[in-house]
Amino acid sequence: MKKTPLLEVKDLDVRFAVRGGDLTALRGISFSLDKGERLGLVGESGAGKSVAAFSILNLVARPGYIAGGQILFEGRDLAAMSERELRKIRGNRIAMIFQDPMMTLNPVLSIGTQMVEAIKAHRRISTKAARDIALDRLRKVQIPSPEKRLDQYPHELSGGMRQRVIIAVALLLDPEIIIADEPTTALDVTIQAEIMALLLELCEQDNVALMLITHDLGVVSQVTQRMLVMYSGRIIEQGPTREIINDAQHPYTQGLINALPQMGEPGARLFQIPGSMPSLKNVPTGCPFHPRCRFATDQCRQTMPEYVRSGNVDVACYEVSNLIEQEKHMQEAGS
Amino acid sequence: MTSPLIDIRGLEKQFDLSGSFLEQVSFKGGRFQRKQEAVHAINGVDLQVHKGEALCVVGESGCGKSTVARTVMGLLSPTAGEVHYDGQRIDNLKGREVLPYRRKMQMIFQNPYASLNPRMTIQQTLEEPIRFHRPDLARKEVRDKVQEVMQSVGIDPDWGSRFGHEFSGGQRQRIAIARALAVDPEFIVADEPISALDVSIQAQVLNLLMDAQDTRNLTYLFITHDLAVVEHFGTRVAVMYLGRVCELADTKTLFAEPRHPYTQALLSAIPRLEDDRPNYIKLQGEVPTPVNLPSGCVFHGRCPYANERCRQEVPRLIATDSGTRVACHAVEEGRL
Amino acid sequence: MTTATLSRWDRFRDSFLWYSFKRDKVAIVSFFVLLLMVLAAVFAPLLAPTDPYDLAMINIMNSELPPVGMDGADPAFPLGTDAQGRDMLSTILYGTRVSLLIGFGAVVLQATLGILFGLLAGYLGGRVDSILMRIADVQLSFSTLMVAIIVGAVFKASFGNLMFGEIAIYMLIFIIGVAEWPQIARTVRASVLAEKKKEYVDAAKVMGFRTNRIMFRHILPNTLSPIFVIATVQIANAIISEAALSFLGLGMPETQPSLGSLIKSGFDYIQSGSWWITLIPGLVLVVLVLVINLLGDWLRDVMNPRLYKG
Repeated sequence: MKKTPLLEVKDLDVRFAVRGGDLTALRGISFSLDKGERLGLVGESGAGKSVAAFSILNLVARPGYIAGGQILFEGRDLAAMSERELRKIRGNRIAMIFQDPMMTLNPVLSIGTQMVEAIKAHRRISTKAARDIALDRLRKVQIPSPEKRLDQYPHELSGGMRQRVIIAVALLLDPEIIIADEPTTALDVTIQAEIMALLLELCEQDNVALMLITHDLGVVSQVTQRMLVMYSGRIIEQGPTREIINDAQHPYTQGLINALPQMGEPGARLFQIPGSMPSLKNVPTGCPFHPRCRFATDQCRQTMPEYVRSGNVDVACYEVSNLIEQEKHMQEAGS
Repeated sequence: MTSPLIDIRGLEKQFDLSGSFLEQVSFKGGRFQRKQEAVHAINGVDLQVHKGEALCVVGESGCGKSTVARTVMGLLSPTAGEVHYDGQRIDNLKGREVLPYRRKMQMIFQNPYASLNPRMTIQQTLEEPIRFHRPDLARKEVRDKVQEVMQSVGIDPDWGSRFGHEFSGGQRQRIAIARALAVDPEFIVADEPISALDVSIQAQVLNLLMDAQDTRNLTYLFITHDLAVVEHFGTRVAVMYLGRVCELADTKTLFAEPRHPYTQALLSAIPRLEDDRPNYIKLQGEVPTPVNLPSGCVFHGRCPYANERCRQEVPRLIATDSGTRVACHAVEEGRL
Repeated sequence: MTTATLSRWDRFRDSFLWYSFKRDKVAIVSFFVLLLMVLAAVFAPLLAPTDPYDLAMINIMNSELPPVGMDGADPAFPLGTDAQGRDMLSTILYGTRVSLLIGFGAVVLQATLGILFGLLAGYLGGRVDSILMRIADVQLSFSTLMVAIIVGAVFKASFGNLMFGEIAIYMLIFIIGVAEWPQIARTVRASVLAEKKKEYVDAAKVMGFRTNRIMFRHILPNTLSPIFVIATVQIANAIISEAALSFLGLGMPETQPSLGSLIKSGFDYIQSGSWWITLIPGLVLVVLVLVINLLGDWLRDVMNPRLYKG
């Protein structure tokens, strides 16, 4: 029997109600996250990866709304849950790390106060005990002189230190899942490397599941075990990270990887995908990638491809499914 | 060896933090004190850019790389030091004397969302510099020129009557490049031209910059924090830390054999596709603020090889056998 | 993206401005009421049954006739007559014209001074900024009315009543315009400070464009939205300032009445029962100022960049 995953998103549709009708931000998103698993969510801006992260916690801001599908966390549907029940899960069972630390930290309160408050919102314990937990988590994220930090204000810390504090805040209540939305994009490379290593280490140590949203394929490859590639509100490819990085199936994923300067011959032209991601206002019919795809056929222009399995990877692409069909025929003919 | 196109000599730039005289005075311990503070953005940089090459300046935020770019372009005036273009000193030119250099030197900016005037159409944006610098051209010639330059960056000339906000980030950056190319420059400073763009768009813009270099015989000063881009794009690389150049080398040499401990750490921190784990040289401490510069080597507080000499004496750029120039006592003494 | 080029009209119809206007009933009603009043004021010489400036047309015997619908009304004077026997409808039409003229005139002057000084202060910075903004501070620390009263009194004393009557309208525009420029200058300066940090200004500098060109061609157009909002509200303020000055007897003379001087001239007769001489122009003034302010509020909401997500 297959064990139920920790988090399972089924056919999630998210729309934005704007003038002139609804815009579909997410279309039929389905994926699952096991306990302790590290999942990467990759895509360019406008692909819908941040919306996906926010909708998991049912935090899509108006005019956005969840139009369909389920978000099952330990079997309970977050999409159908009341605001009160959701609050018990947010920050407690599922924690979130944002790109901008100042989205989480209040600039006028000391770090200790904020951490204690966060704990006491979910647990009935004394301030002293809460402070001890806070101190412990600051030690965990390897902040030098953590006692001193508790009484400091966010602006007194450097960018890297702030992001460490954010991770400590996320860890406060021993969550099952950490959702990290571009946690290192605003940081310098050397600090990014430190923070990513720290996050990875902590998740492994406590068997916490990590959902890492990023545009950086290098980071995904270093940190995650499985990855999803999103394009124009849809998951176009998902599977084990190594398998996708080494042998991407979808032409978009291939393009994304080959467009990286580290993949090209120094000084030579880079591989480039023509055009840019369509805006939500005019998503093309059929496969949303077809105007930029060199394999596009009439079939791609008209209907949205279903997912097919190639190895351990699920891909939504007619080119791939046709190839698989052909192979099958060849094998049948051969036998 | 031919003389360099751009010669930066002993460049220093400080930004005053303390404000007016009244704001500097404070009353402390029963006495009035005057305190002056400044950000030491660049502290003695010497760089040459040769004709036809792409010199990349890399470093993390606050290392002064953008300040170098802006000082070269005359957007900032240096506190000390000189900038020469083709043998002529340009940092002290006044009024009309600068104009010829404005045509020869152009700049591409980081943020394509802010670098186009929101109230001007693309046609106006591109026509204005041509009209300004080439008053001899007839209306028709100006239009043809705009058409040509739009085509060369891959923007449909029929879109001229649109405004910047109607385009995507990548297209805007193309338009910004077209504006720089419109006056037929020889030298372009590109200040993080692709860091605000998506991965697939970055490749398009990098290709465009490389094509322009080939067809127009351009020289680049390319400012970036992304070493992977440098490896691909740069002829030579200058690594900066806290307003000083710590290593200067051919791109190939630098990536094959980084000498300065900071360069080594920086290179190791690039997230590589083939890695399964973050794999990097850990530096101790944090980047000091450029307000209170450390004595001696600016890197000594974080350097695993630092000794007493590093804390006291500022290292100078010295040439090594591989042609790399490094500012490091440990390398000089053979400790590293 | 379609390849067809959009005309200006299409662009406007596609804009957030038009969209939110269509959806806002208050804005639509305000706009049409204002339009009606402006048209009525502009075409006052054609619409008004009599010319209130023409003394020959006034018959003192017609004085203090009530509006139609009351005892003793004369259908020739639908809104009644004032103490001098002038037709109220005509005087109000002409009065609105004077009030609007002063309102617009004063704001044009304010905006010209405000934009010029705001641009210079914001873009050049340093000493120019300090001097201009200190002048603005000093100016703002006096109340507009106080300055206007003093200047008005001085004018009146030095030119005499007759001469004053002729130049009153220019003087009012000048006083109100000069007294309120710091409002606009401060707003312009604030947006210039924000704009001049943007890269398109650096790009213009790198092109070698002169300071004037950068200030007026590149930065100014981008600071206009907030000025537009303030200018709208300032028209209403200027009209009120003028009314207040006129009410104090320092504004338009009774021979060329504005709404304010009409209210004042009728005020003496309220006790004697002729309330309409004051009340009707008063109502017109209130409606005029109200619709302008409502439009200003709507504009501010639309142009507020934080709310704007077109």
